[in-house]
Amino acid sequence: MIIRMFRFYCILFILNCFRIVFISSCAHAIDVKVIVHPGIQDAISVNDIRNIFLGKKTQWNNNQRIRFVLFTEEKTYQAFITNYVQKTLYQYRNYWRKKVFTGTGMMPIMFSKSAQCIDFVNRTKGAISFIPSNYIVSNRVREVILNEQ
Amino acid sequence: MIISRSSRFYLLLLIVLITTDANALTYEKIHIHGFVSQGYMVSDHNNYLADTSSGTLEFNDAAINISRQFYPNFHIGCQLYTRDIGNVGNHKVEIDWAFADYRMTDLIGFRLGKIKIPHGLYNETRDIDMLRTFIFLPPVYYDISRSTINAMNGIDIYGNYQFETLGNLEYQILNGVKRIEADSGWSRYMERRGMDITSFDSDYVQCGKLTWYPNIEGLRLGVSGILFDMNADAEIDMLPLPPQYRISGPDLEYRLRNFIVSVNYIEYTLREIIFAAEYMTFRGDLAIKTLAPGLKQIVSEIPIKTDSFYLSMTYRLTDYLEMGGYYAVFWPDASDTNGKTLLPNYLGWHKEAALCFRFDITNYLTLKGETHLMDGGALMMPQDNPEGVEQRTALFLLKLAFSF
Repeated sequence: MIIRMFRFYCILFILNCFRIVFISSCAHAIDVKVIVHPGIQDAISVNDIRNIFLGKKTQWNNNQRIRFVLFTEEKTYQAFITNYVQKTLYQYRNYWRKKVFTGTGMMPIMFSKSAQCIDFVNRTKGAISFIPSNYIVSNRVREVILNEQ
Repeated sequence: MIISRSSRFYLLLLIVLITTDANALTYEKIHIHGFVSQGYMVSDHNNYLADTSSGTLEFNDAAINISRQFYPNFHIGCQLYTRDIGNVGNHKVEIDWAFADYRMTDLIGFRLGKIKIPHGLYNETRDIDMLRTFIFLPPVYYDISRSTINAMNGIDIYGNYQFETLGNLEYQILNGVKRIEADSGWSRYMERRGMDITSFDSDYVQCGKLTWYPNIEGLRLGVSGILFDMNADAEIDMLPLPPQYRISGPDLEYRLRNFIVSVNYIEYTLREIIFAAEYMTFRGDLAIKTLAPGLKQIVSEIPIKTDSFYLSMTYRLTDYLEMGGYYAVFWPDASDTNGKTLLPNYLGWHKEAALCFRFDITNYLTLKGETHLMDGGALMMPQDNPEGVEQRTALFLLKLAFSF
């Protein structure tokens, strides 16, 4: 019976591997903008963004601690993580779960509303986050123009 | 009122399921997380890790951790862990990790306390079922070795450096000591040689890990190694073992010197597909001596040369369904991969193909089904198979895990 189940799994596995061929690159139509505390004047690259949100880059150029927060509205969150951190949402959640369950990190701060993100970034030195690109932020936070490298 | 360890485990499971709202418990800067899992194993021939030929539920674990952030770059935390897999664990609660973590700069940080050993791709997360596709990791992470390479007490220096064009380099260097319980999985491994370990004493332990993330999206590769000496006192066990496992003599000292476990690994993520491969080697000198006064002669001196590797692929089909497979090989003596010096010869290898399905019922609840086809008896414990080890085994596993 176990061998029959193994064969069944094999067939399913092979069939699903064919699906891989037809996967098209997930185009995330939602645009996001990255925002930082107004006191941060560093030039920021896409690589920096990736390293910051993976907890690998922890300081700005002036040694100020980086405090990143996640905006968890599903579409914006997914678009940001896919395009900037280059992971799927599932992989990104597991990345931080791994840190939590091995003690090497704590879950990032998360907000479900753009206004909460802006408020946090505005009042926290060294803070960085992201929000939908159509959200107007006035001058309470600085919108980042990213360098390619 | 006396409550058995099993009852305590299920009580903990019940409390966790009732009291959590499937989210982490977070109070300001204090975070509490945990998981609990229950599995079922059944095999057609040999018993693997437990009494699987008649089906067993002795396959569960649970953990709870608490962490507090004092500053953005300083936190402390602790995790308690308990498990039962066959005769190992038996729901004894252990401190899985407990340390203070200070990240001075990106390039350097320090951890002090009991720290998970960063070994290969998945050693640190080997107990955390919801972080992977498979129920059983390949034999590179053989369950019996958990007690030896899971965690150690000491200091960890870690960091990472971002090169302009070469990508990102991460490192970890640990120095400290390692405590191994006499009733650990390693003892079970020694039982196959007819020894009943009464105490373990491990000296200085060093380990290191270097991972490179080149500027190729989704690729990481690296190397890790553990170096330690291990001493153990053993009694000759009276288990009815087959003759080829027996070593005759009085009580023994078992000494493993310059024992080095190293792994080379590579992982490539292509959107929802993850390919991984690891090659692990064990090298060291095993000396077994009699302990009786005046009888210090060496009974046996054996060079250890064990190799293992696997290739795996996982694919996340939808938000709730994932599947994966691997092929793995383990040679207890890499200089005799065909088992020519063993009787029967198939004790000289363990080859395994596994296929797994994972269903994420919610973000916090997963159900997995997994089938293994195994060839060879190198990882089949004779004490689990007193009537002898057969060459081929099919194993089916189910596991339900909840995390918060």
